Amino acid sequence: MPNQEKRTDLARYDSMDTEALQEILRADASKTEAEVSDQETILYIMEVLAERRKAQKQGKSLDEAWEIFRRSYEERANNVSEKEPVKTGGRWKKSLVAAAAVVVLLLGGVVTAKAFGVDLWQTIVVWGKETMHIGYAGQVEETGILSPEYDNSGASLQEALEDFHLALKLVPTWLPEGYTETEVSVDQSPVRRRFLAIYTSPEGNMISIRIADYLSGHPSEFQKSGDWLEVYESAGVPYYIFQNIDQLNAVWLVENLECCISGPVSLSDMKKMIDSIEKG
Amino acid sequence: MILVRKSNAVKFIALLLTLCLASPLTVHAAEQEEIMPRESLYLNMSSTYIADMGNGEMQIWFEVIGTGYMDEIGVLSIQLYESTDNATWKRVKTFLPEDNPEMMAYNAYDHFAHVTYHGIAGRYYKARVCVWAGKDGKGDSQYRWAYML
Repeated sequence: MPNQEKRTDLARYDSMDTEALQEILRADASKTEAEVSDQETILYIMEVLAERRKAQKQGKSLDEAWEIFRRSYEERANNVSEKEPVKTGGRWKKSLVAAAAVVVLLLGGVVTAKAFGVDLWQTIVVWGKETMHIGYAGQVEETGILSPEYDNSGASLQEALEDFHLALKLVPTWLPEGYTETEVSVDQSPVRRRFLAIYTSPEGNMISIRIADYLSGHPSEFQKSGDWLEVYESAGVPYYIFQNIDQLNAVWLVENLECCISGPVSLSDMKKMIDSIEKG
Repeated sequence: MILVRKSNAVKFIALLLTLCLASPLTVHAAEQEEIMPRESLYLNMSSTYIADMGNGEMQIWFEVIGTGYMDEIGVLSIQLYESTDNATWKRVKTFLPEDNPEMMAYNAYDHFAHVTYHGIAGRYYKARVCVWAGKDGKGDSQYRWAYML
């Protein structure tokens, strides 16, 4: 009952002006984690904008989208008022960067992304001040949840995924030198399966791979440093790469699964791992 | 970042809880809280949600992943709020690790667990979750809101 009432309330955004909707997103991007932010409302607004964009049939490649974003940011950054306190101006610029990133990623993405049946128009990135998360603008079908008696002792990550009939290519076949798989766990809640593999180097460094059912309206949140984000494409799938101090994270969506590779690795090594997913 | 000297696990967690439980019983929208650092040496990812099990029963799930193996990883507190109209909220329950040991894991890279609450069918619920990861007497905490699926 609560969900049905909420959807009725969200319907008012369907007829709202596009600029007004974008302003709501920009305002949300400037909120801190301490402030209550209605994620369901924000995702609904993004879905509305994505559908409008799709209807207009205006497509741009990711490169073009990023170029628009960088030009827009530089323009606004150069126009920051000198009367504004430095701290406020910095926050304002960062909010614009965040908001622009969200908007541009909504607009961009006509590159082929059909490998896993993912419509790139529906993949959205929320780039907040303290964390980021990705999600689908549209509704996602629920996946089946398996028996709690599953015993994955001794299974590799790939074997565990196959046991759950997940035939998608999700696991890198290349790892930086010295890393070996040391731990694999499969956990379940009533609504989510989660696979986690840890790879350890002789020096004790760790890379992890996490694959979990995507929960519409309840995205996982990743800590991040600064505003650097690289969208790396491999086999038509966009991978969102960002930093959390020494950790590099690559996050992506495949059908109704959210995936992440994390570790103290270089950008080139991260891209090699990503490329090896498709090559199997 | 929260800096703590640890004498034993219970005192350590109790001290951190004083920093996580400062909120009134009645909640209104846009409550101001302490701003936490955006990047973290200890926390890498977290996820929280409430699974409706029917007849008022719910499970509050949390998943916390660190940046490496942590001495402690999990949640320091869960404050559960209830509403009859999805507008005005009242805190009805606070979960702490000392009463719910499943909230915290030790010497672990991640923690995936839940607590259970028996509420009233037809009412709205949300939870304010304080995720935590700590190592060598230091750590990070972040607040997350968990909503019903």
